[in-house]
Amino acid sequence: MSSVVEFPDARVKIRIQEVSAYYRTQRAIEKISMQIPSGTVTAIIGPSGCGKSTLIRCLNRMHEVSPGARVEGRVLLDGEDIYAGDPVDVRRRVGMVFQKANPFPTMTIYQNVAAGLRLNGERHHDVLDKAVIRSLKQAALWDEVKEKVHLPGAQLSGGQQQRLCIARALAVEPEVLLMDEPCSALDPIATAKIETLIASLKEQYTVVIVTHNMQQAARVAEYTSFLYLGHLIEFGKTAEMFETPKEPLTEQYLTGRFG
Amino acid sequence: MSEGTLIPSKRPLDEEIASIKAHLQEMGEWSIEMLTDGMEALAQGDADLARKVVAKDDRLDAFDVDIEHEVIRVLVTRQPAARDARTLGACLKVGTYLDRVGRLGLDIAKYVRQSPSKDQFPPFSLLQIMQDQSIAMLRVSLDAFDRGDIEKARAVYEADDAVDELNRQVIKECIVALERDPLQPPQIVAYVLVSRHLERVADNACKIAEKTIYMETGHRRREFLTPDNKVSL
Repeated sequence: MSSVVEFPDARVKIRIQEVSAYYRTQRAIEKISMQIPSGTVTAIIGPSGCGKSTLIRCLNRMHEVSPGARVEGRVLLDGEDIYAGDPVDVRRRVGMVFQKANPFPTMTIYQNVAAGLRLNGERHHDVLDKAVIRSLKQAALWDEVKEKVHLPGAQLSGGQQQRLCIARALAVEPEVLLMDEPCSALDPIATAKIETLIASLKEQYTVVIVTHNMQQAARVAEYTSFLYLGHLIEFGKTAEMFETPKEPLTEQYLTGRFG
Repeated sequence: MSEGTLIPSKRPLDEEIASIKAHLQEMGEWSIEMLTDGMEALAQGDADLARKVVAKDDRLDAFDVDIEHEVIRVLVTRQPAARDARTLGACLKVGTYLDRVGRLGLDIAKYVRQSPSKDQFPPFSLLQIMQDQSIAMLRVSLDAFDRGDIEKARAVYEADDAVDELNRQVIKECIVALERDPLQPPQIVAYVLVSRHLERVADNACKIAEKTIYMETGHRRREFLTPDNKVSL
């Protein structure tokens, strides 16, 4: 049993069609179908091991990087099957931020943000400068680091490092930003900054966030999907789901009857 | 893949909600007492009893404030969702409805000085029937809310028409009385107002029933109430 809302084609950024993902013989998610609407924040919630990180990693072909991992089904980005093309191109269009901030340790703040563009062959300093400033501003980090962009990124606080990683992901101008528990290692103030940032990002990007923090999903996401044992149980408007979930399993999870 | 950990035992939140609901039941009894005493003061022309009803207002206020405080504390500390959130939202509203019921009793008590004794005014028996019916509705609605019983909530709505009809009857009788004795308008107006207050008590019982249905199903009034005031679920 599942309850899943659908959108008109024009609103759909990512269409997930019967996606199953495996680690060798073990199936982590099973035949998940849902649509991620454009220009919104969509949260994926569920208990540990439900497959939420696996699902998000299927959206930019990161899952297949794990040894023995494979994906069945289709993921369409603006109608194009991401598994039919070059994974590097997919990852440029679909950026990702991970649970633990992972700035390149030997690089400066500037170099961290510019890394993706340089990897794509951009060498013009003025283009790089503009991209770095724009990305740091979008990540709400510019005011805090504008005097020290040539210091190592690893010297920043945990929350600043995570925003640096967001700036790095934004520098290549992706269309979609995937965030895998981006605040789980942060204190409440740093978390609040990231959440404010997420809210501002949806004006330009489609954001998908995995979180084990239900209140965070309620705060930042317009849509939420609830996964359990690798199955999509419910997907709908966050406010409606948190007030009146349609599926008993969602109700039980949201009210802390299991987790 | 983990199957998640079932948490079968009672959660601390369950106990906190049970405590708030128990507090609401207590507040309900207090409000009903204010209403019953207000009507008794009116019936007997008992100014002392009327003053006692007025004095009960402080405790009524304290119930209202305490329940609001308890609900806010649970919202802040537990950050509930789904049925838990609906229940706590409903608790806040039920506290407000019960506060209104108590105040209606208080307002009725204040009419003591303006009213003739019940022997001089035949429609008083209608008011007593209204009182019995509206208090019965209130008790059923509080029980429905406490147990989350939708069928009882539905029964409260079904009883409301009879109270509305009694209100119309009282107004008709008051008009007849006014025509018979044009020198008694303040007293007659007092009875019309008392009738209206009792009808409002029944309305508040319906509101509590409404919140019971919302708490249990997530449906709001516009989603389950037909134009003729029937519950359709």
